[in-house]
Formats: sequence, structure tokens, C-alpha cells
Amino acid sequence: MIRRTLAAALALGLGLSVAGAARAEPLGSYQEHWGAQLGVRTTFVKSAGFDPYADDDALVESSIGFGRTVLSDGPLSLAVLGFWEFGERRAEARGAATSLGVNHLALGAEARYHLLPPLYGFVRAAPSVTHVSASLEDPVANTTLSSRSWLLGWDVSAGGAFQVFGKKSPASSHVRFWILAEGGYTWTGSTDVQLTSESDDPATPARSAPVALPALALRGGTFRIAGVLTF
Amino acid sequence: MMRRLLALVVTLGAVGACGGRDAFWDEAADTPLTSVGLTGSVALADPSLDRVLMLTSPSGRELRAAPIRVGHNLVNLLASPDRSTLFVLSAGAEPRKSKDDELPSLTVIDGGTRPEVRARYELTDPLRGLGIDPEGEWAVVYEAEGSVVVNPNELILIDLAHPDAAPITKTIRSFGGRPERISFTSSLTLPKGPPRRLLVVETDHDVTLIDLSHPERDEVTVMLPRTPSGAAGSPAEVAWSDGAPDSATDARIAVRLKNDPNVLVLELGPAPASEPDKDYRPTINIADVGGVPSAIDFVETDGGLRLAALVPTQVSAMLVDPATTMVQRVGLGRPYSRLTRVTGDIKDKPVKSDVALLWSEQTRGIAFWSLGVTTGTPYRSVDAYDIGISVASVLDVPGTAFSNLKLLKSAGQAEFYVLDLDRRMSFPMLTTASGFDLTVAPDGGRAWATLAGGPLFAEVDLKTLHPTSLTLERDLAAVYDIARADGGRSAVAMHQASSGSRWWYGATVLDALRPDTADTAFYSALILGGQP
Repeated sequence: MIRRTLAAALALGLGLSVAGAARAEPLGSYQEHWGAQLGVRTTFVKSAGFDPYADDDALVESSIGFGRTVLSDGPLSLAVLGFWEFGERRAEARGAATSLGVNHLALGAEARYHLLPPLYGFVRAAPSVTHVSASLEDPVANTTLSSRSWLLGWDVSAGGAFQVFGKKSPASSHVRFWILAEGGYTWTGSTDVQLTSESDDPATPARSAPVALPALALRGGTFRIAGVLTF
Repeated sequence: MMRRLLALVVTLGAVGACGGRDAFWDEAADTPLTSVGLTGSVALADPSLDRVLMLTSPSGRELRAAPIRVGHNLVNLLASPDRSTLFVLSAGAEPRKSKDDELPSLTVIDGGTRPEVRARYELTDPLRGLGIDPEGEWAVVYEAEGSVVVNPNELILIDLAHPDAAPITKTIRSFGGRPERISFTSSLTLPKGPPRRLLVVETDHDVTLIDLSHPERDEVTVMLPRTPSGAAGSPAEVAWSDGAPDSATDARIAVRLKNDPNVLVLELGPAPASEPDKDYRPTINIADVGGVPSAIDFVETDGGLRLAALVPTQVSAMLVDPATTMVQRVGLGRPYSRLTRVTGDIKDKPVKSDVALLWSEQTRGIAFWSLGVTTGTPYRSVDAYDIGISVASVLDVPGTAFSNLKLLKSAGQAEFYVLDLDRRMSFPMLTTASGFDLTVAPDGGRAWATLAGGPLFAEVDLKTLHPTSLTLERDLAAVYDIARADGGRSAVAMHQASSGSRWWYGATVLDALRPDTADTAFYSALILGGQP
């Protein structure tokens, strides 16, 4: 029952029919493999705290992932994956240059369902930790003010992957190349941004008060596309 | 499949990019911002966001920036003479395309330690000039320009004492002139009706008197005589006197004319019986003071009320009897060009006569003019003092504790003077360079000397005359001495810097009562205050 529900949900999410579900033959290395991913993730951040660093709401990050299938049962399987996503936005806040650097680390579990050997859908949930580094070039203080903080959060996503290169034999141990697309939501806690200069910066005026910018929370819908090498 | 995925990426990217940020972040200060010191706050005009940032110091070295929304298209910003109130004039949307577009307006803001909007007046025309009544009862908006058709003689009178009263629009009679200056008289006793104040409007060709107790009434316009060279007469200064306290027929307004040795004395006497609706009628008397005067004022002398006119070309002052226009010459010894009555600031003030301070930007030294001895021995009435500077301006000290002191700003020399009127002593204060600006704290306790564009400034304690020199880590734009909410006082030193054509603002806060650069706090990014 659970398997049917999961299959239906995944198929619906991909806009595909379950009619082509994987046949009962072994999926072999289509399913059980190590995987390395390289892609791009875009997060649409609606937080007002994102505004000082970007003209729009898009946070585009490079995405690197690595994982392994740890469990399989017919067309269903479970993988553990880790991701590192990093990116930067630059803009001006009332004429002063600003930047926001983001490093996002997530480790989670991914449930997959193979509709066909070279096509599977998945859902993934992953707790995350995000390091944000905000800065502002201050023309009066004549220095760079910055703020660094860690945010806890989580990601959920659903998507699908399609093999575009690889041997057709499930028993083949050769490398396969997949294209993966997913959509989801990322959530982080909020941080008050208090920009200060480095304490050892001789250019900094004594007893400089921090510059407060709006509280930052990296939350919003995400879309990610990646190339996946499995082996 | 790949094409569909790429299409999806492009679509989602476009959706994300469409989510723009608040316009706040894109509005850079493209021109230097104007700051104004008030009693308990500093106003920093931020016209690109239609707001004024009010900087306050709640306690210690703390500084807070709170935005106050003002009208769209800020064109003028002015503090009341006592610095308790800020007036912000806005031209509104130009052109106005819909009913929702803002009309011109005047916003009145309390300048204390908790700034707030006291009143906002919607105006009909985008005028740019602003005149503030020293007694805080009226504001006048004038000086139209920039529209397709403007009426330069239109004034908008705003009754500040009655914030709910609608602004009064009034077009003064014109004989080709337009308002150049406005003055508010003190209360004058006129032949009919209770004492009242007049608004004196100087245009380039005439002088107009508006009764502020009945602003809707017709104004009185006085055409000025032509100069000896035949040019149209043009006013340069007005002065007024209520005359004897028990007389209702001797209030007078004097007018100094440009390039003309004549001074006009308008006697506000009874209106003829044929004009029963008028409370007074000006009678014009003209006195020739023998040369073009540089300053006038009514003074009380031992011979009675006189109009004093300084005539530098004659190295003299002329005392004009306003009743007879007889002129008495008083030799000054030096061509003083400015005078300031200081009678009220002297501890042992004369009973029935005035004392005036004489000074000039062109000649070194000052003089005390004791007007109680002008009739018999006029040559003894002037007491000259040699000081090392020619005086560009004289600053009063507010309050009562040190009102006997005047600050004499030099006209380019690297020094200024503190003048003690009671002891008739002057104390030189030497500066490292010329060009220092002088301001006096609103509480009258100290003066600040600042050199804009550099990090140097100094505080002078007006009780001990002890100067404290200070050097900040950033160049100064101005220093303001404001009251703190906790009862102390803060000195807010404003800094400005530009990055390309974008201006950015910061401030250093010190204890104004014990300024010490080892006890400061530095605040930057002031224009980011009031973020959305």
C-alpha cells in the first residue's frame, strides 16, 4: 500500500504515468550505486533581509552532492546524500556596495522510485546548516563592515532523474550520467545582521557601533538542476 | 526532455528575478544632504525617500536614527530661530498626474529629544521660500518658481498657533516687484484695535504691510521713492518700533534703501475718517542721512527715540528724530557698518536708553555705543575697543546664564573673540587656521568651533572660557550640540563621504559637557536608518 502511494505521488510529481513503471527485473547499477552531483540551485528568497544584497529575490548557488544507495526493494530505494551549495550576491544598499556569501551544507535521505531503469523519481529531506557572510563597503568608516553567522534549517524537495549516458545492462559497472531536476523548499532560521569591522583593522574608528541590516532568513522555494555521475 | 528542463529553469529564473526589492535600497543620496541642528535632535534631509532622518541621543554616546515622512519633492528645510522646530517645505508631485499624487506641503516637526510631526499643511502651489516667525506664531511660504505660470507675489500664511486653521493664500499688490525678504514685527500698538503684529514684505520696489491679526484684510503697500540717480527705490532693511508704551499713534517702521542716502520712516498713525475700516494709515517721512547707510535700527537715547543709521562713508552714525526727521551726526572714529542692540544682555542696563555694539567686516575693532549720552556729548558716547579682527558676524548666547557674552566671528582671520558685555572685555581665541565656523549650543553653555572638511574642532566652555581641542578620526561636516533624553547633552559630529556620486553619512557622538575623544562612539550608515 505504501509502495503504491509513494509510486503514485512520485509519478504525479513528475507529470508522468505510472503505466511505464519499472518492470520486475533487477535494476542493478541503475539503482544501487555511488553518485556524485554537480549542479545549480536557485532559491527564491522573499525575506526582506535579502534585499540589501540583491536586486531581485534569486539566490543562485553552485551545488555539489555525493551519496550512495543504502537500501533497495524492487523499484524502491533509499539513498543517503550530502550537499554543499555555495553562492554569492552583490548589490548596492543606497549606494554602498554590499555582498552576501552563502555556504549551505545538507545531509539527508532520498527515497527513489524507478519508473524505468533509466528514470526515477525521488523525494528528499535534509537538515542543513548554512553559513552566511554579509558585508558592506562603508565610505565614511573607509572600511568593510561584515557579519558572519550560522543558520540551522532544512530542505525538502522532489524531482526526477533521467539517464542520458550509460550501458543498458543493469549489471554493468560502467559510469552512468544522469540529468536531475528537482523543486522544493528550503528553510533556515533567522539571524540579526550586525555589521562590524574587523577588530584589528587600523582604519576602523574607535568604538564603532555595528550597522544593523534587516534580519536575514534564507527561506523560499528552490529549483535545482544537476548532472549526476553514478558508478 | 532536456529542452523542457531548460525551459523550466529559464521560467523559474525569470520568476525569481521579477521579485524586486524595496525601492529604499536603490535610492542613493546623489547630492550632499542637508543637516540641521535642533534642540534635542539633528535633522538629516533625505529627499530621495521623502523623509527626514531625526538623529537623537537617548543616553550616553547612543545615537538613534528615526525617519519622519515629509512631503514629496523636498525643497526647503529650516529650523525655527530657537531651534525647537523644524519646517520642511515640499513641492509635491510635479507634474501631478492623478488625484493620489501629493500636493505641495509644509511639515512641522518637533525638534526635541522625541521628534514627531506637529502639523502638516497641504498647500496649493509649489513655493520654495520659507519665512519663520521668531515668536513661533506664523510661517510664510512664498517665492514661486518652476511652474508654467507662477504668481511671485502670492504668499501662503500659516497660523502655527492654530494647527487646525487652513493656510491663508494672499496675493500682495504688485507694482512690478516680487518678495525678496519678509520680517515679522513685534507687537505694535496701533491707533485702532488691540496691539498686533505686522508682516513686512520687502519686494524689489516697495514694502507691503500685512496685519497678522486680520490677514484677510487688504494689505498696505508703500511705494519707495526713486534714488538720487533716478533708479527705482529698493529696500535693503527694515526696522520697527512701538514707540512710547502709552501712545497708540507712534508705532513706526523704518526702511533703509539700497544705494540711497534717504531712509524712510513710516508713521503708523490714525486712518482718515473717510476710511473707517482701516485701523491705521502710514505716513511717510524721509530723512537724508548724508550717505548710503549700511544698517539701521530704532534706539532709545537720552533725547528720546531715534532711528540710528550707520554711514560708513561718513565714519559716522546718524540719529534721526522720527517725529521731526532732524538728523544728529555722531562721529564714530571708524567706519563701522553694522550695529546690534545689546541693552537687554547687559547686567547693569541703562534705565531709559540703549547700548549698541558696533562692528564691521571691513575694519578692525568694535565699539560700544552708549546712547544715554548722545545729546550733550555725542563724542563721548562711543567707546572703541581694539581687537585683532574685523568682525563678520556676532553670535548671541541663548539663555540667561551667559547672555552677557557675544561671540565675534572674524572675516577670515585665524581667531575669534568672546566679548563680555558686562565687563567690556574681549577674549581672543586663536585657531590653527582661518575658516573655522562658530556655533553656540542651544542651552548657551558652550560654543563649538569647527573646520568643515577636516578632523579638528574645539569646544569653548562659556563659563570658564576654557577651550578643549579635539581631533576626530574622520573629517567633519558639522557639529551639533543637542539635549539627551536622560538630561545630559551630546555633541554629534557629522561625517560625510562620497563614493563616486553617492553620498554616505556617519557621526561621532561625544559628551558635550565633557568632550573627550577617548570617550566617543562612531556611527556609520546613517542613511540606512528606518529600513523597510
